[in-house]
Amino acid sequence: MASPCDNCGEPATVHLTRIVGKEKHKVHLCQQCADKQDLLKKQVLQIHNVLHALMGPMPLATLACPACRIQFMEFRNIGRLGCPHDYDSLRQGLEEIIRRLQGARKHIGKRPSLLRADTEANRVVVTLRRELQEAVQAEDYGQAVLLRDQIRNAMQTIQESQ
Amino acid sequence: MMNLDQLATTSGGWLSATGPDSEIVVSTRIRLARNLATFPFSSRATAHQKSEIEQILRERLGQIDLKIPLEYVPLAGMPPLDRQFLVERQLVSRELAGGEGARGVAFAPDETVSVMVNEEDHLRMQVMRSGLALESAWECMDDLDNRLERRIAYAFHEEFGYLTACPTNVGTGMRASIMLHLPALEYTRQSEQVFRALQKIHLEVRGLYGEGSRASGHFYQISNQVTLGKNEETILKDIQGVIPAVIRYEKDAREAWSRSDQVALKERIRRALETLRTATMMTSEEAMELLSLVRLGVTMHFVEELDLPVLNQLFIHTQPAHLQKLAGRPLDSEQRNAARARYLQARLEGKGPEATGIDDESLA
Repeated sequence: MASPCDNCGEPATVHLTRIVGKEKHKVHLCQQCADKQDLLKKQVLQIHNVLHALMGPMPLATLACPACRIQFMEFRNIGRLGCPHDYDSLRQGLEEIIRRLQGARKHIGKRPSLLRADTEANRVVVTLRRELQEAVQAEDYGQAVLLRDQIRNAMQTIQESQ
Repeated sequence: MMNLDQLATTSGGWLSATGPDSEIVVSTRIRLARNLATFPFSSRATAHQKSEIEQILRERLGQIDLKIPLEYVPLAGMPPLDRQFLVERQLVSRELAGGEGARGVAFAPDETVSVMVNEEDHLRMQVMRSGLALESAWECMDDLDNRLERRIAYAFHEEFGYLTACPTNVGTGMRASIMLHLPALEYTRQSEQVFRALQKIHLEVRGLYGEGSRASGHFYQISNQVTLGKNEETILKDIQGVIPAVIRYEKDAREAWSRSDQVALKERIRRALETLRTATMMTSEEAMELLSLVRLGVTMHFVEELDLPVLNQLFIHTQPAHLQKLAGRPLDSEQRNAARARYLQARLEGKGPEATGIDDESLA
């Protein structure tokens, strides 16, 4: 038997249980009223979080680097990473490998003495270089020229910041 | 452009047998892996990107002010024989020699410094020293790294340190390696036991030409396995700490052997020398084995007429690419065996590397 919407009396399609303190409240809403209250979105987000907590983090099979596009599984097969940014983007899978190989997690020792550009700027350039290569392959030379200029500008900014 | 043919009659400064403990410790090598922050690693770079990387690094390497300037030799388009020659010389790795695309090596004329470009990492720099000389090798390596770092934005991570294409090198990017000649441990079957003990404390043991190579001539390289979580000083100290013990084991094995069986040992060394002097055909493997025995004889003062620098050089000069360079023409494996025997004969008679007569066309 369909309950009516708590708000407008239309047949409800969204049924939630809200727990405030020790009290349980059943909430019945129609789609429209649920949308208005932004309830469903929150709920979906929460469901995702629950699944995440139950099943662990994102499966390694879908892990990939947005800058060089190498997939974690590809790295596992060939044993070589694609770009310096992988240490962040594939971190979820790499951490355990590094710990096993090295028996440690953190670098101590020499470090570059100069101030360097933030890693984000470096990552952007690696991404632009890949996009340039893709544009050249697709024979999209207009785009390639644009990307080349962007790389040049980005490199200039990086060099000036050092 | 450097003429590799001229190198064939010489040998690297690190083979001079002059450093501390050089009777057993042949050489010390320290290598650093570094990468540019704004490029994919070499194996994922396109042909065009590899050219860009080479161009940038070649330029920067030319700008740094070193006592002995480095000369850059591109490997793309280099004949296979020349690439093999550089491998035998330990100036480049097998991986770089067998790779493809823009890549190369910058090295000092005395061959104590070499910098590979576009190997597994964008930069693989190494410093070589004769004998056990970790401290002086590190000083030189550190200095070169500092000078380059002022001109190159290295890929560096607050947590993981210097970033490398393979996580086995991440952190310091440093591999320090000591090459030892351990014939007595090998002949008395104690080497396995020593190596197992080293592996337990995370040191790696490999043959003459590194990864996967057989320990020909009873040469072994001991190096650090771990590059993360220890600073450079500690890594070097850990290796420095075990080498005296390995030297001690080898010396003890030599003494025990000499005490229990001196007549047989001397006879074995004498026959090895005799074979090297008189054979008309000699494989690379046999030459390594016999030279190893003679080297042992020299350090134990059973063989007085030869010295270590010449012997060290013979191990390298009798390798296939060196022989062909010395002969000045390509040789098939049978011709090499004949040239090797002839070359050894001449050198053991005291002739210089340029006067052995193996470049005589009439022998072809």
